Amino acid sequence: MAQTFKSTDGDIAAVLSTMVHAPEFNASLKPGGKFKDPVHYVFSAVRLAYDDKVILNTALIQNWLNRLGEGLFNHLTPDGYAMTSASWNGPGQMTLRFEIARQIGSGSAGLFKVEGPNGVEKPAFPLIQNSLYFNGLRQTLGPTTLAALDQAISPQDWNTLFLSSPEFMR
Amino acid sequence: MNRRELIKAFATFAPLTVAGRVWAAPATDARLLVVFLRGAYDAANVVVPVTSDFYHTARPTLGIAKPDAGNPNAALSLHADWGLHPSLRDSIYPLWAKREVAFVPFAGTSDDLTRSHFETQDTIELGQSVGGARDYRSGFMSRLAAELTRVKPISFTEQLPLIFRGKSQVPNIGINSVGKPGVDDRQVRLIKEMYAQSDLAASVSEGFRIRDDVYRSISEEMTAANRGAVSPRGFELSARRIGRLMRAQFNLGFVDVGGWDTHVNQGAATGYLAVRLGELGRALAGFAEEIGPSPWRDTVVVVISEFGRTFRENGDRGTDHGHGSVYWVMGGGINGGRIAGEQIKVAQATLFQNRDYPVLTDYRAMFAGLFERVFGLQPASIQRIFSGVHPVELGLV
Repeated sequence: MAQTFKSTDGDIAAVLSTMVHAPEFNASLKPGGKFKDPVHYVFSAVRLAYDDKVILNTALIQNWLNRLGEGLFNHLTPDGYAMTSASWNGPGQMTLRFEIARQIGSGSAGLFKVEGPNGVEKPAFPLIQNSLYFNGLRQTLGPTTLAALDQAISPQDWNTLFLSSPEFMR
Repeated sequence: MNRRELIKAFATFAPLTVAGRVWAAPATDARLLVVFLRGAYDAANVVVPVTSDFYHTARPTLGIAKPDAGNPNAALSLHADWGLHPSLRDSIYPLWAKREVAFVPFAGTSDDLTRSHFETQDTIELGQSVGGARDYRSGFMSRLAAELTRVKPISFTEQLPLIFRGKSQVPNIGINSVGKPGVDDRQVRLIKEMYAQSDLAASVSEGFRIRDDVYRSISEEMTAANRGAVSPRGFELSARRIGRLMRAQFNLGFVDVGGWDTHVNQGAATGYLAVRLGELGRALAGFAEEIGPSPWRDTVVVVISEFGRTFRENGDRGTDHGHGSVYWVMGGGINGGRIAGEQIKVAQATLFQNRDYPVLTDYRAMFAGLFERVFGLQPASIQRIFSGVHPVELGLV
């Protein structure tokens, strides 16, 4: 990246192109690698739950990100949000993540309610046991996670446990 | 045993060293709470230089009157040259009489002159020299926690603050917004099972344990409130909860409270700042009460802020960003009732850049001195927390 920066006289598009074509970048996209930071975690959970259904109310997602400590444009120091797992997996942060997993997994949580006092709410439910799950994700789960999911007492409970599982954190 | 001797006795124990870390066993009962007043509180109107004629001319509408028993709005006499804001009469002033609070005027950052809230808050929380390359992943309370064994740190904040970021895993909990947890006991059991073999097992079970401890302690308080007890609000509520949690569960805590950036209509003996101060005073006195007499003797509370404010009032009956502040050190076993640290006469000629208080006691030197005494840390440990800093001995602990 430094070489591209120098050889192209600081062409940002070229520098980013070098980055996204690097093998390390590809490796970072594979599931099971890094511990997800809050933005990655929340977006992956909501996308898994609703696939291509467009979210109508983003305030809730912003609130989750703020509570998890990675709010939009909220970082003050010059270095940006941390990329290391240890910055995001402290005890208080894990507990909060499970609470948010429960909110995402238990129902539409207001994601499809148009903002405003008389906002109409469209019916929606997080469908996580979908074809993506059965055709791929399930094979990545360890025996202890599968055992815990077997004990779920409702779809909401199953979702909460799946989104809380160690496999989904990576 | 004289209670004032207790913490001192801890400090004089020869510390045992285990695997390079100080075995803080003699001082495990020692507790430290750091309270950060974000927004830069107007220190000159809280610990008031009452004998300075310049103070009274520089603050024609904001000034606090000299101590006068007949005037409820006058400063409370602390010392020949200093008085306390009258809104602290029933909370902090009794602690002063018991020698359980001391004030350190002219305290702050000796190397950060930005007068920017964000930059200076970061500077203080990092506790690193401004000149060199700074590690934004390493706050000084995190480095302190790493030097102590048997330390039980916690940040009473919604998010993990910079001051506690670093190698040690520090839990955080927003103490004022604790509700009944949504994840129920059965789900907790299943989640813990999923993580049993994971490297996050400890973090997960510790998180649930803290959640339940905090909720239990707070539901006891709610039961008491239902029996007709007056329930405190705002920061007083937080501080009382913290007191209860630091009685037994935690011994190294951090909390912040905002609302101190008083550019406009800050008020004098009454008004906006007086209300904020009254709440802060009740909060800290409430903390001391909740933690209980015996733990309070082993506890040190340090109240800091990023900088002071301009010595002269501005055209909007407020004050602007300044430099030197006044820090508070409190505790049941401290040698308080004193104005501590290096001081100068408050006059126009002694102002920093003809604008605000100078910094004569650097925050790192002060904390280093306190850590040495409270936790019995050796110089090598202090250097790992504050590199290149000479601890200043204020004789408070």
